[in-house]
Amino acid sequence: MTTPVLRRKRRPGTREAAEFRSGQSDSESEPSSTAMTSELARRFYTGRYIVVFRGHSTSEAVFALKRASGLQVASSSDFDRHASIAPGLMGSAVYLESLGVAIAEAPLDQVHQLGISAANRLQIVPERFMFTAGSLRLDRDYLEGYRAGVKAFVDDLLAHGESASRRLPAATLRAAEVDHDSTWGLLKTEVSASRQTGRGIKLAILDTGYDQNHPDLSQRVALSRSFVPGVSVQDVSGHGTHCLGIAGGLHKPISDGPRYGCAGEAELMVGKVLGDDGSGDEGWLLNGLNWALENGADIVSLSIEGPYDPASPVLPQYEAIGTRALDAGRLIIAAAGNYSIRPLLTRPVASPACASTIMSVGAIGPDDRAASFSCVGTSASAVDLSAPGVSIESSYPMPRTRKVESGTSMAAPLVAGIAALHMQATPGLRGKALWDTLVTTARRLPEGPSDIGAGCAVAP
Amino acid sequence: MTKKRYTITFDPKLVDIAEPLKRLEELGMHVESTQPFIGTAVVSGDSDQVERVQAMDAIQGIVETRLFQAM
Repeated sequence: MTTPVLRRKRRPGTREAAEFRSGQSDSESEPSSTAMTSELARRFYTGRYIVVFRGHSTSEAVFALKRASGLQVASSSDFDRHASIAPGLMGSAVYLESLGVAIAEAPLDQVHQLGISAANRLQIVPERFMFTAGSLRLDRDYLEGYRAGVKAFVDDLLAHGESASRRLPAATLRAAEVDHDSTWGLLKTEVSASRQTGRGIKLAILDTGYDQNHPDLSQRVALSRSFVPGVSVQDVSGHGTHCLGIAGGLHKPISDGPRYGCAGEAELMVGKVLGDDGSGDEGWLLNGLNWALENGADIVSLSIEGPYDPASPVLPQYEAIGTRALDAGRLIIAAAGNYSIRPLLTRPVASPACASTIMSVGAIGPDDRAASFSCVGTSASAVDLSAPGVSIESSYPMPRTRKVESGTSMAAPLVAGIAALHMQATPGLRGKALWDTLVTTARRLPEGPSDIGAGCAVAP
Repeated sequence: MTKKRYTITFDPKLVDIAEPLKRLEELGMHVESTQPFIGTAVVSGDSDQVERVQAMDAIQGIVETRLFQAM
């Protein structure tokens, strides 16, 4: 048997290529789609791209920019120390040595060539305008939409939510709305109305570790281990603490604020597989997955993504690992990825979520629509389910205690927590059957499955 | 020859990965870590060694290791 090593080749004509062409059109010329696209582009994006290098020397980075994408490149050291540095011509870039970052003024296709040839050790993101806090009109628009979304949802539950009202008296729901005693994500997924707590279910979060001194979490973790050499499980980045809180934070948190945790009595396991800078070696992730499953984790939540690679989006090892987990009655749930910039650009589900045997979770906002950043499902890599992932409050390392974050990173642990509630509600429900239950009980949403999968996960 | 790090996926039908691990070491590959429960290993080796690994029945796949990041 021979299995070829994956080679990274661009496939012309793929959806990704088409999307990149579409992105180029949007950013360079008169938009052909909607006025909203045009408005968003003008308000938020400069039309240039930021290329973030990782582990490249200056000469490597400049060489890559020149050779791979054919850009004219200047380094920041070429400029006077006090001069304003920015590319000026289409097809040019400036490399900022002290930051390891380049600003490229070029069509997206040209910039994208760089991503393919640089062995995925870089990220490419559109350059945004920066705003001072409070100056952005969207803040008000967003908050009004948020308020309307939550109000409509609670009204719907009170008026028509038969399943929810059976479990929770209407007065309690009203109290939840008025007292703000649950985050909007818990309300939207009916977690706050569920009697299940996840008791008896082992739920593992593999991420940047957790804050062992956090009042809401310090007594919650049954087992923890760091797979990052020379580093304890203590979370410095904050990402792991946030995800852990969403999945299994206390139903009555000690910290001041609403309930944000889903499966408050699940047996939590924390594996630190990403370093304090939020990135990690694949070997650490594999060691963490092996540890979690070997130690009986029923559900594993991954808010982790590999580098975007349109030529080989699905890594075979994660197909195999997901199959093993399902065969053993376990379920791995992973965030779909935050690479999209809707409506300008959509990008396919990231690895490892793109494996068909790992449940891929997209993010929705209070308006039930896919979040602007949430990756899109393709024929090769589907979005299976969605959950709230915009402006999600959860635990954060001390002394801050709490923080509001957005990302599919927030949606995946919420689905993991909901999965634990389903397992508790239906003894014996595991693995593939659990997957099917999550999908069949999801609340259908207006957008199609490529955007939000089967819909929004709902607690039993 | 340049050595790179690879993630190996073992054939899921294997009950024990000890034998293929021994074979990998005989080929001169450095086995950095193993994850028996999920059937993977992280190794380093050159392209000649990778070609030989690809020919092993006990190996389902071998790909270069990657970096991951929090989202």
